[in-house]
Amino acid sequence: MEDESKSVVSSQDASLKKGHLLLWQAGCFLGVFLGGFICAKLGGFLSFWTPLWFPNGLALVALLCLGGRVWPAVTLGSFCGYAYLLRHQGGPGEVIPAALVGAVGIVSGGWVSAGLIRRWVGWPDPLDKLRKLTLFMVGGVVVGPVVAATVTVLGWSVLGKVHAEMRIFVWIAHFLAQAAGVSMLAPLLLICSGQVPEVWKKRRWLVARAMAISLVAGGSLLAYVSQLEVRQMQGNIDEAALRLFAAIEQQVAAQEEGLESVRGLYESSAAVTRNEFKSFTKRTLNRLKGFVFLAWSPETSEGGLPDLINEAKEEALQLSTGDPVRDLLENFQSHPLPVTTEGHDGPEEGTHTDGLPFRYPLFFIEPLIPNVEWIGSDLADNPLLWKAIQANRQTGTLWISPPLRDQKSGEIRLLMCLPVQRLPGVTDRLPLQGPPGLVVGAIDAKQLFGALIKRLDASPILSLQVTDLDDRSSNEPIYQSRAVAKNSTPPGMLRQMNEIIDIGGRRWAFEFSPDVEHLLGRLPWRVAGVQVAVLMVTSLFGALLLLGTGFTFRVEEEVVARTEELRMSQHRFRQMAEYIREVFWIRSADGQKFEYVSPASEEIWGQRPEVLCENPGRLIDSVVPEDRPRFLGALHPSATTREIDEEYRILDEKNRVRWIRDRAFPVQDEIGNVIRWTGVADDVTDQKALHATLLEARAAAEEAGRALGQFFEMSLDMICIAGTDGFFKKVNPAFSQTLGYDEDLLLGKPFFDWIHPDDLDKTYQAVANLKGAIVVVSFENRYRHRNGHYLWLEWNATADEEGNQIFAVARNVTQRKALEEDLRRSNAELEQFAYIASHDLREPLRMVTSFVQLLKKRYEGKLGADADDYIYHAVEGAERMRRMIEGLLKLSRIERRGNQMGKVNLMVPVGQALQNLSLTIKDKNALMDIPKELPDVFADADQLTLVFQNLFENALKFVKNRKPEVSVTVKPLGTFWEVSVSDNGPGIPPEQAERIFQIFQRLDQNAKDEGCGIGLALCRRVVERHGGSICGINEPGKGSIFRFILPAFLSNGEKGGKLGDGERQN
Amino acid sequence: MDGGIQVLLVEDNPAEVRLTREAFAESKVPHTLFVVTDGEQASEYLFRRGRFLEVGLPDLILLDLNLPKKNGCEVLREIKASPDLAMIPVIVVTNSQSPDDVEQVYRLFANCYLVKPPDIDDFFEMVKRIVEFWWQTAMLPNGRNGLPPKKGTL
Repeated sequence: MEDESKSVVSSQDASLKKGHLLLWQAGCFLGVFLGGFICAKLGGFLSFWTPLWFPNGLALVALLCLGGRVWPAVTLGSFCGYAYLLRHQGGPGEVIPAALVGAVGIVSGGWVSAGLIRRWVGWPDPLDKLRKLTLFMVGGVVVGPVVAATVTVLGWSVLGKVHAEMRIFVWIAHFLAQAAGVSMLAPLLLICSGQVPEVWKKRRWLVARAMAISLVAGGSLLAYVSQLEVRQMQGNIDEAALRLFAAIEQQVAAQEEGLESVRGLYESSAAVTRNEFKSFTKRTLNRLKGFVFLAWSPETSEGGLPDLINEAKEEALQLSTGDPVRDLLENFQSHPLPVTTEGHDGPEEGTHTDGLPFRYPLFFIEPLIPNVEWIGSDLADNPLLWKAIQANRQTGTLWISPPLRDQKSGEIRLLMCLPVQRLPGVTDRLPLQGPPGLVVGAIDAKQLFGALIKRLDASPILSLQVTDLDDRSSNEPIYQSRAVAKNSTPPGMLRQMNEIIDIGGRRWAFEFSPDVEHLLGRLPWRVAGVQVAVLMVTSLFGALLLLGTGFTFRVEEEVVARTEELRMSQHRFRQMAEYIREVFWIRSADGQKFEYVSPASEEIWGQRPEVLCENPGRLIDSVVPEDRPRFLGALHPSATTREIDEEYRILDEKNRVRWIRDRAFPVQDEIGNVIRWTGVADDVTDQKALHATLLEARAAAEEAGRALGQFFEMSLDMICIAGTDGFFKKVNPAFSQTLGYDEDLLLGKPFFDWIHPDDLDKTYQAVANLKGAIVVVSFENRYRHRNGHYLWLEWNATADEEGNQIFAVARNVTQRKALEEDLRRSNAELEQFAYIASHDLREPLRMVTSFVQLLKKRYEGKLGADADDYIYHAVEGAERMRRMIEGLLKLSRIERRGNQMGKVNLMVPVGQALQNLSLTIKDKNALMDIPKELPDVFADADQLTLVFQNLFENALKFVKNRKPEVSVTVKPLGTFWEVSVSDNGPGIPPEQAERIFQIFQRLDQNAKDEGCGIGLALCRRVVERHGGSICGINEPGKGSIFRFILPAFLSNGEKGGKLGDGERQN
Repeated sequence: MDGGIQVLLVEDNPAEVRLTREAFAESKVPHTLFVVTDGEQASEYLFRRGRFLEVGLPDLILLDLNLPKKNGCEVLREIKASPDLAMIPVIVVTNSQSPDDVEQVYRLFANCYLVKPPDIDDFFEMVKRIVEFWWQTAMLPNGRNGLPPKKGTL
C-alpha cells in the first residue's frame, strides 16, 4: 500500500510542489468545515443525530486525490464542523474534546478508506467494473464510516459524552449519516476532481449533474424528514408541557381551596380545639397530598404570648401522661422557624425581633409528628415572612413565602398562608367568630411537582424547572425535575416553553424543556429508515451511473476501434488493389458485368478500368481468337462454383502477343450460391519465357549429371549415397570391388549389418551427426568383407539440408591401419625396453662407477701415470653412461608418468622454469623477456615446465661471450597457440635443424658441456604428447628460435586442435 | 656386546656389500656389520631360526628392497609386525627413486628411505652420516649408543 500511495501522491506532486500545498490545505479545510456546517444546518436536531454528515466523504476525496499530506486540513476542518454541530445541538460534556475525537474519527476513517481503495482498486480508476465499484463502495461507504463511527463513539464514551446504554444508537446514527454522506458526495467529487480517468473525461459533467441531482434530492428528502421529525417531537413536547402546566395550576388552586376550607373553620367557630383542628385537617390532608402540614398560627401580641403558652400547658394537663403531645405542650414556647434562611436575608433582619406588635406562633400543626420542630415556632421572627404578613394582614389574601429550606430534611418548603381577619367592608364573609391568625399550609415543592409529572407521565420527554422570580436573592430553583448536568446546553433545534404563574403574590416561572438525555438515548427510527433508503438508492444510483458510463465508454471505444479497423482494412485493400502489378477484378454472379477493376488493367489488359466497367465486351476483342473460349471460361464462369485458372493470349496495342493468366474465385453466400466472382489476372509472358529457359537448363544439368555418373562409376574410392534410415541408396562399383558383395545385396540390407559390432555405436553417432548437419571427416570403422574378415574404411561424409540423404566417400585403409598398429606396438615395446634397460642398467653401472672411483680414490698416483690415465677414462666413460641412461629413463617417463592434462596457464610452467633456473640466470646476468600475460593451454603443467626449462637452459648455455637475451612470444593459430622461445646465440646450422631433436645428438661433440643430448628430444616428446609439434629455426645474426604449438584451452572447457584444425597447422 | 654399533645389512649384491663395508670402514665409527643376502635369511637372522640361533639382535638394519626369495617390503612388514623387532630402526637403502616405493616403505613404518648415490664420495658420506646419526646423535632402545657418558654421573 505504501508504494501505491506514493505513486498516487507523486502524481499529485506536480500540483502540490508548486507551492500550492498551502492552498490545497486551505481548500480542504474549508471544504470539510463547510460540509459539516451545512450538515449541521440541514437536519441536525438532536445531539448527535444528523441525517447526513459530509465531512467523511470530503475527507476521503481529499485523501484519495491529494494524498495523505492534507490530513492536517482535513482534521482541522472536521474539528470545526464537529464543534459547530455539537455547540448547537447541545448534550452533556465539553464541546472541544468531543469535536477533536470526532475529527480523529473522520481522519482515521478516511485514511483507512483511501488506503483500502488504493490497495483494492487503485486510484485514479474509472470504476467501470462491477468488482471495482463494489470494492470502492465497501471501502468508502462501509469500512471508513465504521472506523470513524467506532473511533468517535469510543472517544465520546471515554469523555462521558455518551452514556453506555446510548452507545449503540449513537454509533448507528453516526454510521448512517457518514455512510450517506460518503455515498452521496464522494463519487460526485471524485468525478469532478482533476484526476478523471479517460472514461469520465467526456461525460464527467453529465454524470456529475446526475449525481448532484441525486445528492440534492436525497439530502432534501432527509432534511425534510428530519424537520418533520423535529416538528413532531416539538409538538409532543409542547403538548406535554401544556398538560403539565394545566395540572399544576389546578393543583395550586386545589391547595388554595384546602386552606380556604380551614379558614372557613376559624371564621365560623369562636374557639377551635386542637382535636377539632386535627379532625378537620385530616380530611384536607388526605385529599391534598401536596401539603407537608397544615397549621394554625394565632395572631397575638407580645403580651398575649404568655397566655398562649399557658393555654398550651393547660391543654397538656388534660392529656394523659406519656402522650408525646403532652410533653410538647408542656414545653411549648416561642422560637424561630426551623429553616435556614441563608440567601434569603431580608434588609430588616435583626432589627424587628424586639417590639413587634404581633407574634404568630404555630399553635396547631397537623400532622404533628414529622413536623414537631415547627410547633411553637414564630412566623413573625422571619423578616421576609413578617413583611408578607404585614402586607397581607389587612387584605386577607393568600400569600406564599419565599422558598425556605427545612433544617431537618433540607428540602424546600413553601408556606402558603391565608390570614383569618375581620375584614372591614367585606360582606360576603361570615363574621369572624374566633381570634384572628394565619392558616398555614407547608408545601414540599418536590413532592408536589414530582407527583404531578409522574401522574402525567411527562418526565421522559420533558424536564421542568420552577423558579421563584421574586426571590431575587437566590438563583436556586424551587424545583427541578432532573438534576441538570453541568455544561449541558439545551438542544438547539427544539424550543423550550416558559410559563409564569402569579400565586399568593409571588411569580413562579415554569420552564418546560425537552429532556436532552432522554432524546439522546433514542433513535428516530423514521429518519433512520429514510436514511437507509436514501443511502441505498443513492449508492445504487451512483453505482449504476458509474457502471453505465463505463460500459458506454467501452462500447464507444470498441466502436471507434472497429471503425478504425474497417477503415484501415478498406484502405489496405484499396492500396493493394491499386498498386499490385496484377489486375484485381470483381464481377457479378452471372459474369456479365465488372463491378470493380483495378488500375493495373491498363497495363495488363490494355484497357482502362472505367472503360471495362462500362463495356466488358471491349476486352474480348483483344484476345487471340483461338483463346477466346478459354478467356470466356475464365471471365464468365457462371456455370461452375469452382476456382478457375486459365491462360490466354491477347494482342497488345503494338500487336505483340501477351500471355495472361487469369484466376477466378467464387464468393458464395452461406447456402452456397455464388454472389460474385473475384479474380486476378497477370501478364505471364515473361514467366513463360523463363520457363522455357529453365527447361534448357535442366537438360544441361542432366548432361552434367551423366558426366558425373561416369566419374562415379570409375572412381577407385568407394562413393555412395545413403539414407539416414540405414540403407545405401546408391553405391559405385568400387564398393562391390572392395567389399566383395553384389550391388543388389549392398542396397538390400541395412549397412549396419556389415559394420564391426565394436564400431556400431560410433557409427550411429556419426549418422546422428550427419542428420544434425555436421560434416563427418576422417571417420573410421570396420566393414565385413564377403570373405569374413574386416576392412578398415575411412569416411568423409555430408548430408543434404533435410538430413535425409548422406553423401559419403570411403577408402580402404586396412593396410595403413595395420602399419599404424605395428608402429604403435613397436613404439610401445621400444619405450618399455628403454625403461627397463635404463632402470636395470643403473645398478651394474653404479657398481662400475663406484669401484672405478674407489680405485681412483685409493690407488691414484700409486700405479703409475698410465694406470691413472686409464682410471680417468674409465671414470669419465662410466659417468657419461650414467647420464645417458638417466636421460633415457626421463624420456621414457614422459609417456609413462604423464599427469592428466587440463587447463594450464602458460605463466605457470614458464614461471616454474624461471625459478628452477634462477641461479644460472643470475650468474649469466641473462635478460628474460616474458610477456605480461600468457594464454591458457590444454596441457600437463609439469611436463611443460620441463620443455621451457630445457629451452631456456639451451639458450643460456649456447650464448657465449655476451649477455644472453631470451624471449618468449605467443600467437594464436586456430585453436592452437604457437609459442616461440628465441635467443641471441649462435643459432642452429640448417643441416642440423632436424637432428638436434634426436636422442643423444649434440651439436658440438667435443664441447665439454654438461648436456647429455636428451633435452631437445625430451621437449619434442612432450610437445608431441600434447598433440603439437616443435621445430628449431635459425635466424642468421639473431640466434635460434624454437617454436612449438600447443592446443588451446577453449572457453567451453574443451581441448583445442580437434580434427580439421590440425590440417591448417600442417 | 661392545665393538660399537651392531648393524645388519640385507643386500644380495656382493659388490654392493663390499662397497658398504668400505664405507663403514671409512666412517671410522666402531661397528659390527652382519650381512645376509636374501629376504629369507634376513627373517631367519632376526627371528633366530636355522643357522642364526645364537646371534644377537642388531641396533640398526640396512635393508635393500630388491632381494631374492623375499623382497625388502615383506621383510620390513615382518619386522614391524613383531613386538620384539619393531623397535629396531630400519633404514631402506635402494636404487629405486620411485615415489610409489617411497610411500609404501614409509607406510610400513620404515624409519628412513635412502637412495644410493651414484657417486662414491656421496655414498661414503651417506653411510658415515647414517652411523654417526644413529650411533652418536640418536638414542637407541635399551640405552645402547656410542655417546660419551654424561657429566656428573659416576
